Amino acid sequence: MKKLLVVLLTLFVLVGCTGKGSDDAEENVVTLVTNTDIIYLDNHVATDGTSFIAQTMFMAGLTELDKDGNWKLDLAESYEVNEEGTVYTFKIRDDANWYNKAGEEVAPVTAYDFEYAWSRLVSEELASEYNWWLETMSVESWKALDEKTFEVTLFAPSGIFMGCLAFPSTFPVKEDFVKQQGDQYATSAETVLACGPYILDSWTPGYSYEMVKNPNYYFAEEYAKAGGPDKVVFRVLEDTQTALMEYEAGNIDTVILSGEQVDANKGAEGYVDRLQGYLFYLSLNINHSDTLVTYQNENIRQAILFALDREAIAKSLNDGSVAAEGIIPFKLAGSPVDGTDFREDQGSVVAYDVAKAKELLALGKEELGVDEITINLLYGTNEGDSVIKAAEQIQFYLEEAGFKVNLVSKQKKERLALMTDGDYEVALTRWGPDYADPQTYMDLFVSQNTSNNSGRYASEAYDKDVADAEATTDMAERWQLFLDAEKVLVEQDAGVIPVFQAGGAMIIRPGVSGIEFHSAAVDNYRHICKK
Amino acid sequence: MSNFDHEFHLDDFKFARSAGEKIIDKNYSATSYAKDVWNNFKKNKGALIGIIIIIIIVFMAIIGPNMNDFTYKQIHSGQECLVPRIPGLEKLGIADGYHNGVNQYAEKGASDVYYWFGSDTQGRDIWTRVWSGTRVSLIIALAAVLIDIVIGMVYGLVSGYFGGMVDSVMQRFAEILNGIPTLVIVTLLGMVLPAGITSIIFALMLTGWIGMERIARAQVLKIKEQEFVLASRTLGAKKGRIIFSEILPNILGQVIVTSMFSIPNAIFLEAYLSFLGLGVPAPMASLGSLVSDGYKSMTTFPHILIIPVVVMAVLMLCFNLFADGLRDAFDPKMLNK
Amino acid sequence: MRKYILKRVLISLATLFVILLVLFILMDLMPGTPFNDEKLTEAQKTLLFAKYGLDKPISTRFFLYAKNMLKGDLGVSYAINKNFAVSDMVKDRLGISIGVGALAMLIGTVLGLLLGILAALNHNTWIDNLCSAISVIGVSIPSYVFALLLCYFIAYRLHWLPILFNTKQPFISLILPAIALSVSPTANIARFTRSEMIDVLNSDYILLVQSKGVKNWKMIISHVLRNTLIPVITVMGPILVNLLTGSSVIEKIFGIPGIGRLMITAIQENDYNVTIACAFVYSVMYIVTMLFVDILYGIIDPRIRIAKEDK
Repeated sequence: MKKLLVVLLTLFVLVGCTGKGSDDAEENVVTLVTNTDIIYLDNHVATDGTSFIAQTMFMAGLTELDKDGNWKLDLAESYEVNEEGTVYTFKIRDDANWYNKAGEEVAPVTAYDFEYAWSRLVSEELASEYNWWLETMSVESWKALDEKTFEVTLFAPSGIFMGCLAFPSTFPVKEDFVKQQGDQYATSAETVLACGPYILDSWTPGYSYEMVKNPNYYFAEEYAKAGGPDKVVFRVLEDTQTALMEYEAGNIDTVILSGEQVDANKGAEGYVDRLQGYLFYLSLNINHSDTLVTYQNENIRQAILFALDREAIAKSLNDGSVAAEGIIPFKLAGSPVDGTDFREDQGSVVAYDVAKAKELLALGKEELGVDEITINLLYGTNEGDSVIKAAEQIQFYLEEAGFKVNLVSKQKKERLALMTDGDYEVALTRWGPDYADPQTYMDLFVSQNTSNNSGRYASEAYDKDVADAEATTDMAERWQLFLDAEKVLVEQDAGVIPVFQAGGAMIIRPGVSGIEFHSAAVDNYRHICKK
Repeated sequence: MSNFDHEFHLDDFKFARSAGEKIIDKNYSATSYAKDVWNNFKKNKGALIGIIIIIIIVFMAIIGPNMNDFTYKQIHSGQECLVPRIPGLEKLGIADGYHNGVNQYAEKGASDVYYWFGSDTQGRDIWTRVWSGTRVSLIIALAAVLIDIVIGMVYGLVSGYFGGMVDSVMQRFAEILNGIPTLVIVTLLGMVLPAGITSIIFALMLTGWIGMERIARAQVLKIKEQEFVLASRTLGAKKGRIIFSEILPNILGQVIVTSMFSIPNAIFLEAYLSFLGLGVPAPMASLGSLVSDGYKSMTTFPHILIIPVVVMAVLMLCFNLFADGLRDAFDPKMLNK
Repeated sequence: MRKYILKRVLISLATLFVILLVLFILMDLMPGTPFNDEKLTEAQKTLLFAKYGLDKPISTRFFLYAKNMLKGDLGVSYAINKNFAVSDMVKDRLGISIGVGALAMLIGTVLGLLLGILAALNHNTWIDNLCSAISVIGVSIPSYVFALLLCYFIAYRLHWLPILFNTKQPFISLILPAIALSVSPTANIARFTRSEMIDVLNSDYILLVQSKGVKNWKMIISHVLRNTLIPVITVMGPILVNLLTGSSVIEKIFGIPGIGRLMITAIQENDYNVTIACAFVYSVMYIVTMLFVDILYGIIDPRIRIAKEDK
């Protein structure tokens, strides 16, 4: 009987382990680490950074971003814009083609592909999370004039329009191909078409995906000259400790570090400390509940605002995160006048002053007629270690100021559901900017935005500032209005409590270059090189 | 014929004992079962050491958190990841606060501070957290395991003894419950129950007893056809009596040993629940959550992991020594040896 | 015997059906939906619900699901890899998980039996104590700690084995994860074997066999082991199922695309179809293993067979 068991087990082992080894020793291969897998290959339904990064590698848009975040033409050979700045006419490159997995040319990229793609993005049946993207770009209508000419009409001039074209949601797709693949579209390397510098060669969900150089890409020669690799492998690794060992053993070229690993590796060659756009803030349930009145009290809200030692919180996360100085993160957008960063222009609209917090709390308690304020702080447990740590830190500092705090931990999806329903008190949440403009944050807290303004913060002054900013064509005035709006939202009303801006620490092997980080939109891996 | 060659005299015989001494049959004396168990248990040195250390740990879990000025949730910004430093011992070069040849305490401007077990990544005292975590884990694990034993054992006994239809129905029910992954069940419980220790115990209890049940049933199946059970039945013993006084003592040893093994399972499952947001609410600690937190610093600051792991391993070792002793002591077959 | 087996198989099928129903109801009770995302509006959520048929009553959905399942269609993923056929997602990962799990079970069984038998034969000696200590430490230190230690010393320092899972050398790179996974089963099996065997060694029939002059090793193999194995098999069944259905932490540490990790992600993402599929794979394995254990029982221990046939 035991023998049978052993034979059976051995069989299992053999079945589980059939796989052929192959050699690609001669090729110039870069192996990068990603801590999450691609979720959607389809650029119209994708919502996460990892998927977007993959799409920017094997697909292309009318423009792309350089390392400073400025746009330059990509699929578009040239463009014209009318005097009012509302009608853009793009000429699509003649040498832009669609390629299948084998690298064979399928068809040229045409203006019709864009026309279809944009209609697909906003179509109701796709229910894309980014279906508002075109509206944000101020796009009113679009039309293919002929094979290679694409015309876009804006309802108002937009300063962010050209940059937003580098975002994967606006990338073209080929109608015939999408329809022919049906439900299978974009579920594997075989069911997508490439038009970018790389071709998706394989995707093993949960393990890795590989891109090979597209030799027919219109900038292929330039890429090759710069040292672009033949193959880029993305390896999905969630455990940072074994990943670091793998890096040190020389098997992978980048590694993402956790807060615990940063101190020991700060001196390593190739250590990079970057700022991400994600801003974590406390959403207070002000008006989104029938029973809760605590956070309608301004003194209580102000007390929370003053109670947090953001520097200490960010330092304890130790992963490159920095203390927030407002709801707009650092390095998101520069002033249209002189390019100074929003944060530098505004200065800090938050402060840490525990004595003041205690004072305000006492006032608030008196006004509410209660002896104690107990905050139920909601946070997500599967949103990364830094969120859990931050929640504990926030609890500590609020308790120092005299609040009583219970931590309520939920899965992310449930946390979002609770917030949507207004079934929470205070929640630690975040927002990742989609484009490099304060508007991406400011839109969240206007009173008519019931999707994102979970706490139902309502301020006429704020609403007016934001509405005016979006209506005006004077970029300097718009900037000033956003500066004012942030002051109203945070400093004056304490409508939301900014806490920290996420950072990311990683090591990139010396010799590997061209990984371009952007705090808004998508990091760019297209220009990666290895020497 | 010559049998009576010797003539007996009265003084040929002597009393073996002094007159008036009571004669008690020691071989078949009626000592109580409990006394037997205790006598047997006492003989087992390992078990005695086990119980002593368990008592020490329980004692530490009660007073440990109050032995210094720190609390389990007090954050000390700027004093993160300090290695252990104990006054007195530091002169001997052990636990002196040096990490990679640098005195961390001096470096971080905390020369007069002593974290006996070091501090964690948020600058919280590990000593306090470990002992308060031990307290939480002990409560959870012991409660869960006790309930496991009671439910699982009774269920297994009944199912195994009656057999037939009763067994079939009971086994199908257990199979259905066990056929659904524990995680799916406990995740859903998180929604219904409020966060807290009681909920965790309930979640552990709901799924933990099945392992015990299977073992109890297997043991019953083995024992119930044996002669002494048959004898008891022939003598007209009622079912309840057969199950609880004939079969139960014979399987108790096995049940106790198994239950000791479900303690670490309960502790780890609790740690996993914390990860899902269903465990002990942060910043409260449990041994399991301390271990899974410490894991993240294993290659950089191993003391954060090693200390709770050692406490847990020692605790488990002692529970097992103790269980072994109990098992031998409980076993009726061992009693007569 | 054949009739008994047939009956057991039918009962197992019915059990599976009930489990599927329970899983379906549990999914319905899950907090949140697969479509709770920051940037999704209410209208879109409703639309997505309709698109995937989630707006229909649960009974309709259940029977549709059960019907499709018989055809091998487990639905599509809503959140993890949108529109992926769940059957494909599960199939690929299950193979790898079974590979690691089976290897771990092999190591665990061999080592566990060895340790247990060694301890029992040397009851109350230092060998016994050492074996006990090893097995206790095995269950009280979590597998992920072992995994990282193995990675660090065996792979990173000594270069004996690859650090992470690699599809190019699947067998070699699965050895470390399998060893890490086998620690707890080894300990469990060793403990159990030891206590069972001590019981058997102290029983009257072994005394009889001994007094008949049967050679020691022969007695151990044909009399002691056989009787020891019965209860050991009961604990081995569930252990095997747990190993084969993947361990989320071990998969995470070694970068293995296995089914354990998939299920955790599915639960967290509320991806109903994937969760049900992963959970059901577990259920099927569990029920089948239990069926085997029951039948094996009958073969190994004649008393049980007779007792069952009587009724």
